[in-house]
Amino acid sequence: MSVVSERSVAAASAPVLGEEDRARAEHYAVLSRLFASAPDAAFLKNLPALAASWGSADSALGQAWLLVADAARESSVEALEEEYTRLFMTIGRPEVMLFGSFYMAGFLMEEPVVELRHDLAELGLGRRLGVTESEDHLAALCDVMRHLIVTGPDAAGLARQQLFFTRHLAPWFEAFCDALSNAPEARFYPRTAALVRAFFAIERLAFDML
Amino acid sequence: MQDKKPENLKRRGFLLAAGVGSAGAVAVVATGMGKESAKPVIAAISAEEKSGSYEETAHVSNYYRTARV
Repeated sequence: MSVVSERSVAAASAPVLGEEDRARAEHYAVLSRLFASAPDAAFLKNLPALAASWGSADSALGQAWLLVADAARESSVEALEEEYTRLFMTIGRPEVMLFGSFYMAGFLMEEPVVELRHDLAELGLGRRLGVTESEDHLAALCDVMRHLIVTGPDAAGLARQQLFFTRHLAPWFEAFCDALSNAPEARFYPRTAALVRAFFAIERLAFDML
Repeated sequence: MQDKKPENLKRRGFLLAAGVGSAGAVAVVATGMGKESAKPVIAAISAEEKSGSYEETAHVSNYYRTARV
């Protein structure tokens, strides 16, 4: 199937997203990009631009965005590459783990990953070719949430989102944010912890309203 | 398709009040998703690939090419 015909199929069947669902999907995209790898120059430059849309002194999320924008302005691509590698990629025991299983079970690749793979298979999702990180990586889970939002803003889709979030993100994001905000000798990533915490806290409260 | 049940209107109001809303569709572009350097980690698997082997797929980038928000 050509790209063009796939585009037209997608356009014909794509659900219409409300303003809040578009913003939720975009927040998941940003969080995925933040933690998938160190920011490149374009993404680093765009963070303050995103904060211009979402930053505000009036809410925890808005304040977190302002903090991220300040952190981005004070950072260089080279420094972030070093910080990302040191915090998240160190062989053996990274300073901050990005994998849910570590927080939920105490070790990597434990039972939560088995359950996650089962849930992903039910949703028709899997690891992209060439990806070596296990599926419980924060960036991967954010990709799944974004996918579920853009493909299912209706009641059934919201139920799928709620189930996935409740099982695979809600149990550990606060412990992750605690670890991230306390990471030693890091200047950028600890200042993203408030964004993760504020957004996921909003998501959790919003799901509770369903 | 938007659900208009009262509880979902309440949820929508909460999200918008909490600051989740109001932005244009800029973030996905800003993240560079779709570039080699920033591809989504997880992606949709087509039915035939699912029935064969669970893991990886090349098909998948199609979803993200077509479903850009």
